Amino acid sequence: MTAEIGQFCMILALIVAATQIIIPQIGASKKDYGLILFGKYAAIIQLFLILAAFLCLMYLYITSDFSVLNVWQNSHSEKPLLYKISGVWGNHEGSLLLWVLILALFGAAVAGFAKNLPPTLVGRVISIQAAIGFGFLILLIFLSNPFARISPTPINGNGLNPLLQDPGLAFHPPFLYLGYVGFSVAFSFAIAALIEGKVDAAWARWVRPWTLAAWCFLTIGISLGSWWAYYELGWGGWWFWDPVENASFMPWLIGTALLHSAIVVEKRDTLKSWTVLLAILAFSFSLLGTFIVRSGILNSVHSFASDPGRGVFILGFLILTIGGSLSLYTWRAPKLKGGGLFAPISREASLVINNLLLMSATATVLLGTLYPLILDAISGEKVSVGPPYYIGTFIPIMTPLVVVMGIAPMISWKRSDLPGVLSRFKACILITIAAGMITLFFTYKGPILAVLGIILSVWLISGSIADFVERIKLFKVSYRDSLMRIINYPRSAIGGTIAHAGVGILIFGITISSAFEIEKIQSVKNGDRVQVGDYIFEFKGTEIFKGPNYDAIRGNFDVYKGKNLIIKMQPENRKFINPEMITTEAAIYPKNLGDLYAVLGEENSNNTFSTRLYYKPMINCLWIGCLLMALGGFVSLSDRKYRIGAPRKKHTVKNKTLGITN
Amino acid sequence: MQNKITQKSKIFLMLIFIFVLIENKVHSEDKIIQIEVLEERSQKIYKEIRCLVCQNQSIEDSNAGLAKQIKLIVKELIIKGYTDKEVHNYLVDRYGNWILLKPPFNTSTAALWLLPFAILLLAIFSGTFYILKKNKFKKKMPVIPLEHDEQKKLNKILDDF
Amino acid sequence: MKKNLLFIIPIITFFLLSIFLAIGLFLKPREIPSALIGKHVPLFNLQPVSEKLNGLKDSDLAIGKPVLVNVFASWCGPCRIEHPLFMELSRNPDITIFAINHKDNPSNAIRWLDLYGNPYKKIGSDLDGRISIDFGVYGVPETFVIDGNGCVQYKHISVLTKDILDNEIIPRLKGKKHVKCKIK
Repeated sequence: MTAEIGQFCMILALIVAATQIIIPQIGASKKDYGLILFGKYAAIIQLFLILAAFLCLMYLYITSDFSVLNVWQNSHSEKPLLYKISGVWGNHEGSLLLWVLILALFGAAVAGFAKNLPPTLVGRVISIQAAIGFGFLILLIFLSNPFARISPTPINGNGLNPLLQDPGLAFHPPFLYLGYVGFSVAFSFAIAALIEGKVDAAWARWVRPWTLAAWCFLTIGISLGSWWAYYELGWGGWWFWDPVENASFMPWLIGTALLHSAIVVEKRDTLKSWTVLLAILAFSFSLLGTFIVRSGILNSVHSFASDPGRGVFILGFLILTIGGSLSLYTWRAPKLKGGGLFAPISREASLVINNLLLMSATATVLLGTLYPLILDAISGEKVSVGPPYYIGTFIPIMTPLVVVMGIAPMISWKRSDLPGVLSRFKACILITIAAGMITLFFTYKGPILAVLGIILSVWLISGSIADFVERIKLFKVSYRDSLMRIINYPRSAIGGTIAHAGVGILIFGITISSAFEIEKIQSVKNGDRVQVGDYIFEFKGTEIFKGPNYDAIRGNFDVYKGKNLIIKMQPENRKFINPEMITTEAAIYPKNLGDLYAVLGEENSNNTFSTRLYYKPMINCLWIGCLLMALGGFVSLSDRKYRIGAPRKKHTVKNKTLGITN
Repeated sequence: MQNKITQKSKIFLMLIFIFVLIENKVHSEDKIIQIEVLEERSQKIYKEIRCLVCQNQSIEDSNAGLAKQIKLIVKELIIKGYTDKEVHNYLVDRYGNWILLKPPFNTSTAALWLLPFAILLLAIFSGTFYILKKNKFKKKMPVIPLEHDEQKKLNKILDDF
Repeated sequence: MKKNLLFIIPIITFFLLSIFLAIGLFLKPREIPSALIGKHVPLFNLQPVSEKLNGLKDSDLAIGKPVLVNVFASWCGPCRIEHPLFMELSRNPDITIFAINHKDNPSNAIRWLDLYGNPYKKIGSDLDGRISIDFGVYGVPETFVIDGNGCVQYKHISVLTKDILDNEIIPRLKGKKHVKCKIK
């Protein structure tokens, strides 16, 4: 019965979506606010219907109702509750339902928070949101129905891929989708603005918080995925430049560009058509990612079971939405006239550079991701584009970006002088040069990339600190005044500083952990000792261990530093029964700013075990950097101007009295 | 199964035999260094070779049988004195360029390697053009100094950030 | 006007991209074409799976007319699916089929052949899979067409189908679609 209710809710949602496309759109063009209001209610009803369908599916998973095909394929009665729930989105159909749910959530949120927005704009945004939802609901109902039944009812399910039975991955898709789908709001705003023919500072001020929210969620989603790969896959890596990872990275890069260009529209009323294009592209790349993941056109470690029918449908939908919106763009965008002029050394110019570099990086990732496909289509030749390509092309593009990023927040709008800006960064420049020299000294034969990475990260971190210190006038005024300045300073600026520092810390973590990693791969027998940097791993044999739905071989390592036993590490080799699969469970011990990482491989013929032992210095900086980026985004989001929507008169005056000028 | 194992141990024996040969030639101290160099070089190559039976991994990251066997072959070839390039060629002769995670530069990958830099140059060029254009207009227009209260208003607006 | 042209770039780029994506839907990214086509077979000499049967070596493959080489194993499920096709082919006296028994226990292989029939003229036992690697094999079953001079003409990956047999393999066995061999 529950399955039928779920199915029914989805069909109702489809009908509501159809009305939600048409009625508010008519309302907006006729300026009939009643019809727009109808659209708002439709958006909220839409959310509840899809939520009901989603909860139905979740209920079916929790109660292990194997008469439903999707539950049977992806769940098992002995699975822990958390993974029964996360199993809902661990497959194509369920994750698509989550996708649509989040889309409806954003649609309803726009309707709910629309008080300060012009009603016609709201009407159009809601209508466009519904149009996207409509397409995906059709895909869901007709090509990927999660509520399809099977008969006779099987006794037990096939179980969930054990790699996905992990807390990191349980929360990874919801965050990722909040990010992906969140860009749909910016997209809808862009289309609405193109229809209305008006992009102004107010428009940018509405778009920015939605983009910012989506960007934060996407940042968290990608980081969770990366973190999961690090501790669960047991390869010690955290980013593989896999097509599916790239599919999430490209919208992130474009979203980052959009965040920055929207500031220019908001403050200076220029870069309008470019910002609209970015808003369209951010979501278009999310859709492209959906296509890549679900059509199986590229080789990837983590794609869903592919189905050509779905691939054709999604591609058709892609051509309709992206093609349609870009056509609209070609037609309407030339009419968007930007005003503000600025000098070559100005905040605007630095943000233009930021945008161009970020988009170049996106183009590179896109090229690398699709090149094997394009070459195969043209000549039938097969090539692989792996990490060495991306590292080789990405670094030259990102280096100038980071250099500009370090000083850009201190460059004033409209016109600035570079010597003046640089003079504020004297200390940073000195610190950076010193850091570079020291690294060069210690790695004189080592990887030159390490030196570059450290220079860039030190530059960015010290730059962010200098920026912050300058803004709150630390040491120049009393501590109390400085504190007051922190409190009164626009949160969006503080958020930006935090996020920039986060990027610096991230680069630092990436550099140190990859350049100075110690990796030992060997076969060991009971009593063998392996030296990993300052640590000695002594292998103490294995034992059999029984988990809730797996059997495990657990290896025991005593880890010594000098003569002191510091930790016992127990990596596992798990054998899952439903479905049958072997996973390696790394043992990770954070120690002295780095992780000790041990993996137990399989047993060899001569009673030895293959093992991999690592020392990964500063790997935590990766996660801290990502967290800071997301945190910066949220701090920025809490800025007063986004909450009240209208220009902040009072606040400006307050700043004025404190004497903050740009 | 039994055969597989004996075959593997045969390969191991062979490796050991070759090691012994090397050992006779060099000092024992050098031997350790040599083994370390061997390990380092083979690790580096593992990361550049794509696992054939996996979805998208290097043989370094893979536990698949074929990946392990190719790792052994790589080591064997290095011991035989192959350069990294020759090891690559050995595998490419058998499996094609697909096996290399870093695609070699040739006519069919020229676009892959050159386009990113072309895009970057284009971005720099168009960015410079745009920024200068935005500036040029300004110079043409007569610059009228702002009135005091206008300047105040402007500061207020700009203070938003 | 010139400025308006700039706004067409995104839609054109997207249009081109979607053509490739559409083609991509019908490609098989997991099938890696053989790097050996147009090259001589590697040098090898494989032992037979049993004393009663013949082993296989490289010179066996250059007998003046095209031959088939099937890479199979008793532990390989899909091999059983394609096996009847080889049995049927073997009834044609003009067609010679050889086999490489890939990483298999010879006694299992014999039992398997006793059960399902032996269409192969000679079988080389590739215990450690090393010769298979020289052939660029990465999964079983795989089937090669080799011309009369021992030059690799074609490789089919995974289960052989009637369709592939009729359209790709039979013509090549008759000497059509010939690829010239590069001399080393």
